[in-house]
Amino acid sequence: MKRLSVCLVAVLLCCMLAGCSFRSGSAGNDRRFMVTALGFSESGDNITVTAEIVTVNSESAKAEPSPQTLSYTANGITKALCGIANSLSRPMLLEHCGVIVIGTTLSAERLREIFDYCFKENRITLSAYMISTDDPTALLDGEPVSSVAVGYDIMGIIGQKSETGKIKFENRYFEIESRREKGERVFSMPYFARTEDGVTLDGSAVFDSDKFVIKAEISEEMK
Amino acid sequence: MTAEPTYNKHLVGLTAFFILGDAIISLPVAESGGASLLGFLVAALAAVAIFFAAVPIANCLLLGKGRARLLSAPLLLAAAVYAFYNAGLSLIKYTDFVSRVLLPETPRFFIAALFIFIAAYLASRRQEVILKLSLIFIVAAAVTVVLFFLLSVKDYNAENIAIKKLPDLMELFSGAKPYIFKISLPALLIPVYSTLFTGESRIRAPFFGLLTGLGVTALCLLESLLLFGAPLAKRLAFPLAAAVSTVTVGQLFSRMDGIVYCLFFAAALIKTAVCMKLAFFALSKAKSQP
Repeated sequence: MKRLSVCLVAVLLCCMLAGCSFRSGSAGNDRRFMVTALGFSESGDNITVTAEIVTVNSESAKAEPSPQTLSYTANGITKALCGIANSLSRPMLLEHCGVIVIGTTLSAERLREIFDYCFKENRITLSAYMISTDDPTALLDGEPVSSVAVGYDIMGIIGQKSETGKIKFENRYFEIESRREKGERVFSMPYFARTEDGVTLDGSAVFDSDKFVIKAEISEEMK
Repeated sequence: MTAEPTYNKHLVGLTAFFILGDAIISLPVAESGGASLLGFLVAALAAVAIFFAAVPIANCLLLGKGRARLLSAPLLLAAAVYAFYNAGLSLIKYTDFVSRVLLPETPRFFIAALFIFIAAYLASRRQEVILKLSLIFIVAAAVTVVLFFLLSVKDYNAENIAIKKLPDLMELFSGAKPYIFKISLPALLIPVYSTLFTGESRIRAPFFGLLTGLGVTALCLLESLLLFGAPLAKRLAFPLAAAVSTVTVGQLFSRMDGIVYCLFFAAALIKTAVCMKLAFFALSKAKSQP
């Protein structure tokens, strides 16, 4: 009797947990919006957040993951991200965000706000790469070359440079934040630019007291 | 004829989990000031000292005869209260973790109720159940912690734990204080549990368990400190989970936090269940004392 009731509960649970599979129209429409990169730039008193989103449909094996870039300007990061989320039919998945793009025009206060936001937002991994560029929207809003998204292209470039030993960036979020916490004022992150061939490493952006100060050139060999 | 099982290995696992408990979720603690690592070392030594001080007291009062037995009721009562307090701490810490990371939109009350139900169920089972679970989980926990520690080696910054200036006594004490509450004082309950449930004086197994627990906790603390540095690690609500989230193996395994979430659950569950069991057993024993 006991075994029978356990089996019954197990069967019931299986049916209930798989319930959404029987909903009409759900098959073939299991779309997920994975954020691969987030860009931040300043527009007057407001902040513009750009999200590169890859749409994955796990129910339809034939559908290729497709990237799109969405931007929203608001007076705070949370509001801007809500603005982007509202234009999507399902919640964004920030867990796969691999790159945080910092605009060179950002003020020190805004950059601190971004650091604080990334710290508090559990969904953003602490190992996300931080890079800099003049216009984050323009950088992310282009065709990816070597992967499904520009964000992952950038991660690939950084990974490759580190593996070949050409240049060692310590530009993951926790590495920069750790230095800031220890009171170090100066830190740097790779500077990327968009060219006809996609995104390229174009230098190193130096920040002092959370404000971009200069773009340091790196040798052709390192590029 | 088969020999009666001694459950020594199991007791090692249970004691180790008792030390890991909620400490693994929150170490290093924000209140430890500038002496995080040294504070932990002092607290670890204090845990060993407290354990050895508690063993003869527990043996004398719980196994002794005559007058000594008269004093066992207050000891059991105190142990029950402290065990309940520790169960509460574990519950609060784990509930906080789940409500902030895993189920942010679920009411905290619901999470706590579910956790209490599972812990109470486990506590109500025979002692062998919790002992066997502890042995299985401690092996998995130790392997997991060592594996993640090694996987993070490439990102460690030795400067993060370099001691540039030795702290004075006051600094050291204030650094050690939060760790003493988290890992040293709970060592008081280990001899009481061991004596109550085995009915004999055992030192080796609980002591090795204590050392294992302290060792695994130290690895978790070191990982967070080496990776983030003390100032950032102390700001993080769940440093070990954050440290594990930075580990990537190839392109496929980029978020392995889930493994450490299971470890948090096992540690908090076993500590809460053991505390509940100990509290109830101590109270019933105290009631039956002359």
